[in-house]
Amino acid sequence: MRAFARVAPAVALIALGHVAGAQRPDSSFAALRSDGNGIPALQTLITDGFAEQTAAVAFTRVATLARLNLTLDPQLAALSSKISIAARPRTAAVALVEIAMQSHVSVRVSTRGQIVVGEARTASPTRAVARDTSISSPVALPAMRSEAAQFEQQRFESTETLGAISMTGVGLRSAPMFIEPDVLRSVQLLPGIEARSDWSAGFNVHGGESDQNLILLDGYPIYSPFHLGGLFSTFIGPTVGRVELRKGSLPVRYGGRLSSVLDVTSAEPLSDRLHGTMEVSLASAIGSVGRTFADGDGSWMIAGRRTYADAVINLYKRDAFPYHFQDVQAHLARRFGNGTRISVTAYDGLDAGGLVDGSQDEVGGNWGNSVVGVTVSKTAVAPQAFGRALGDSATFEQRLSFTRFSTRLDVFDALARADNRVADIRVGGSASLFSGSHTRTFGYELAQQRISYQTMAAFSVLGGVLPLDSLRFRNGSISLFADDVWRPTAALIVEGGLRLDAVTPTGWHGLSPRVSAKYFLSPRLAITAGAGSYAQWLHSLGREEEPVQPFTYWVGSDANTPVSRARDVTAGIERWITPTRMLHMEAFYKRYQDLLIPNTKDDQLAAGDEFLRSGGTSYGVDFLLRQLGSGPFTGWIGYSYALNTRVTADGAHYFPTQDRRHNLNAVGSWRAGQYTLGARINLASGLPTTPVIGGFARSRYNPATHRWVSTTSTPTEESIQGPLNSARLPWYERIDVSVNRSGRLFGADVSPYLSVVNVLNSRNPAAYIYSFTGQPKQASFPNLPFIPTFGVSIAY
Amino acid sequence: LHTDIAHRWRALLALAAVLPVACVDQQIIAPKVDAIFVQAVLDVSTNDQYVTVETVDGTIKHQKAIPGAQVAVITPDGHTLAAEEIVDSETVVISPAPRVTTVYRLSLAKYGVGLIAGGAYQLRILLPDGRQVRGSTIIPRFDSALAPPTPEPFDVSRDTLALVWPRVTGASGYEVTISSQRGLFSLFADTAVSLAGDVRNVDRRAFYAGLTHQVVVSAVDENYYDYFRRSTDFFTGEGPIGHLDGALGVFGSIVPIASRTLIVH
Repeated sequence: MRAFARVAPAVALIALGHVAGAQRPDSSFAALRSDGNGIPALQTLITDGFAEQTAAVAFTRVATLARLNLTLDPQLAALSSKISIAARPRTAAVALVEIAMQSHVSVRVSTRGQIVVGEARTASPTRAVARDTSISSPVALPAMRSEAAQFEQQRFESTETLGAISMTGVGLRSAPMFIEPDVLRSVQLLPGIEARSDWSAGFNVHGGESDQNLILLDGYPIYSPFHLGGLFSTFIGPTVGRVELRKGSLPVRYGGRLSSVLDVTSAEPLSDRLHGTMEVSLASAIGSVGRTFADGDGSWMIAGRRTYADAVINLYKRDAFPYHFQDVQAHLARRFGNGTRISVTAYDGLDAGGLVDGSQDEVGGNWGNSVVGVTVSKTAVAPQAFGRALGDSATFEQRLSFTRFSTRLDVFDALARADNRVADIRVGGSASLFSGSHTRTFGYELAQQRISYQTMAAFSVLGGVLPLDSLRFRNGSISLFADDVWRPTAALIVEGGLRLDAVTPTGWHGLSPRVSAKYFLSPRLAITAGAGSYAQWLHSLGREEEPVQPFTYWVGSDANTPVSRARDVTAGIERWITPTRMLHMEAFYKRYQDLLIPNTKDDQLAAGDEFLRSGGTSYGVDFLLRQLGSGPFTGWIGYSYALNTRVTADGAHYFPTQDRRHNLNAVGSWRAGQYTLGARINLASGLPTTPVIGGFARSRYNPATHRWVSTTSTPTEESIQGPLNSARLPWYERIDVSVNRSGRLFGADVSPYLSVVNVLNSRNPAAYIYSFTGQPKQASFPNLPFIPTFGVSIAY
Repeated sequence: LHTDIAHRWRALLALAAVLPVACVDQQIIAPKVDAIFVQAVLDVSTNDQYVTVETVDGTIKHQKAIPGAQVAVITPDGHTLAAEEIVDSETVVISPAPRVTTVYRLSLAKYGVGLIAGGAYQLRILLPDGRQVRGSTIIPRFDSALAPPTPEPFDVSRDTLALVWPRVTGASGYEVTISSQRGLFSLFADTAVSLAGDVRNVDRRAFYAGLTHQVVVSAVDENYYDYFRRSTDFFTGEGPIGHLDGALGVFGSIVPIASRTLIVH
């Protein structure tokens, strides 16, 4: 502890949160999660009632609490009569900070006292108590868990949370893992989410197709966030600060997708000392490093990951294993004294297999994403425009991003070539005005996508895994939205918004109204309801039926490819049973219009036949019992029931491949001393599948000899299908376990882990493969079998 | 070097496929299909058109020809041309040996007619058990028959075969076939193709040194194109696209529009 006292000055940071949905969580708050150097960053929140005020207090150095000296930003001097702040250090471990505010102000308090960071809205005193538990547990970081509970409670108390689940990066990593922690695989464990197979990191939300999910990195779109055919996501573990998943009733600031929004927020370091992590798994090595600067007003972090199997094998034989994937991500944030905040995120990922250098003689390919985005925001107190007050405070945000996704595959002298490129550039902004019981947000977004899809093959054995076509799109969209979060009484929150999208070159334009409400029956019990309309003008040629979907094959909308629409209605109930345990149930109903289903008879030489128009519905209910907090156990039990139907243009109904009726996930981790034990139990009903009822031998016609011949040494076997999705795969059963040991070695936190996927080696077919040439057989293409994996994480 | 890389890549793909497959469960199944399988192509370059009619019960080895069927083609002007049943060992050549089977031969010379460019033809098959098969095709338009090509030398290590052809009215696609004693290599293209000497697809090469190769570019109708342009999807089991009423298979038409003879060395 003396070392702690010597190393750094005390910093107390009070980040007063925002009004519901008006802003993203303040980065300083998110940063509390990951000190990364083993020194506790502790925060505990106590609020009076369930009013909108939120506060988080972090003390990184308990020994200096006695010198805590809270002062106000000079800009707030005029409001000082409305604010009273007192810091009364009681012991070395506990400090009490009281803040009383009588109006809506933005305030940030630190030992050096200068910067505005957030806003509290309350007419009643708010009392925040900071309690540093570093005394009892100087190494472990229980604060990471308490922060999760705290954040969720804040969301419950201050926002409408329809269909939204938020998890910290640490929480996501506590579940058993396949080879290494993965955001998208963890998301698949949440209720309402299901995956077509274990071979894909993609997911389906509330019965929607897998291309209906808007995946964001710090708010910037990322189009195909997968590696190795979907086995891994592109998100590097240590860079993930928080993940927020919205499954329905999407706020109007989100557009362009029908089903969900997954927003991954970058972690921001809290320590002013250079620190980082190194992780080595069976597949890859990860390194990250970061620190704060400018007295904690800025932070940066950079991380990289690369698989190393090729390097190891190449030591023995050159180019024997010509495949690897790699990522690099950097995040920079800087806050200035005038309330301005700038953040920059850059990501670049690549899968590379074989040798592709422009020659037409080689086999291989590369694919990957690149994202660069910058956001500038400014919080203003008592803003005015044209002499009129805009409210008590306001936050203005401006965003600019460029996203690229590129796939290139070459097989055998260009007999098969895949080239899919998406370039997305967008600029957007919003103004959130806080006044009285209203938070009004106005925003816009201009986006342009250039999409080229050139996949040709002289043979079709690749089937539906690699859709063959040649298409080009240049889509543009202009979006305007307005949103009002209104709290007419302390027990009711209503959010209503309207989004206008206009899409070129289709000429389509449409309004997407959305409304949601939350009513508090008690401080710990609320009911929610919402409805919304959504539009999507980018689509994937990838087929849900395929258990392996290596990419998301994006194409745009045009005269042949209409804009898809969906409407949903949700209703739910959320109850906090204890301060760290919550129960959430939500029912949903969703109807699709002009849904585009990839045409299995698509002709690669013809344009306009890529999709079949379809309609459909999805409805069901999600159940989530979640244990948060700093206790020895955290986890959740999630159950989903869903029923999905699609109807073709000629009126035929069928169950889509993602129609999983029942899905139960129990995920937990237990801390016992230095050990953390994790387990995941998954039980899910079978997915629809189309049975193959027989085969026949097809010959080719040779116009030179006028004979029917075989093109292979054996007759070409072709299949006879039964009715579409008229059968189901068997129930899916899987238990994963993991153990993690936390310790210190040479001054670093060292955490080796062992994780076993499918410990019972349950045979879970992802698809059936048939052979009718000899004795007719049905073989199962399996999901993940028993796979033990291990690795180590080192934080320094 | 390129071959080595390709082989390594294939080995990698095979390994990736074998790993999960090593864990698969297999079970014997008993298909219960009762289908008719018909393959018929009207080829404007020959007088004899062959139609195969087979039964399919779902097991490949049980697939066999149906004797005693009444096979007829109805011309655009309404004439019915009946095919004769023959037993033949050359019409259907399945490696490694020809298959002696019953086929139905339609001899246009017997009726003194030829196939009409742009004409709509119908196929009618009546099986001994009373089941019927119907199909129709529209022959792509063509100008004249091809002249026999002059043999040309072709060096597989150096030469590239480049072919360009005009669009043909009524054609849904263009098939390039390269046949030799080693078998048939075929692909579909738009209006041009460029094939290096070492070109190959998944299971065979296009050119083999020491052999004479017949290269034919054919304009094909929609039925033929749909039926042959794809193979069964490995995972989903979706098979060829058929347009016959009452049977699996194809009744299509082709028009050879270019040909080359290559002496490959």
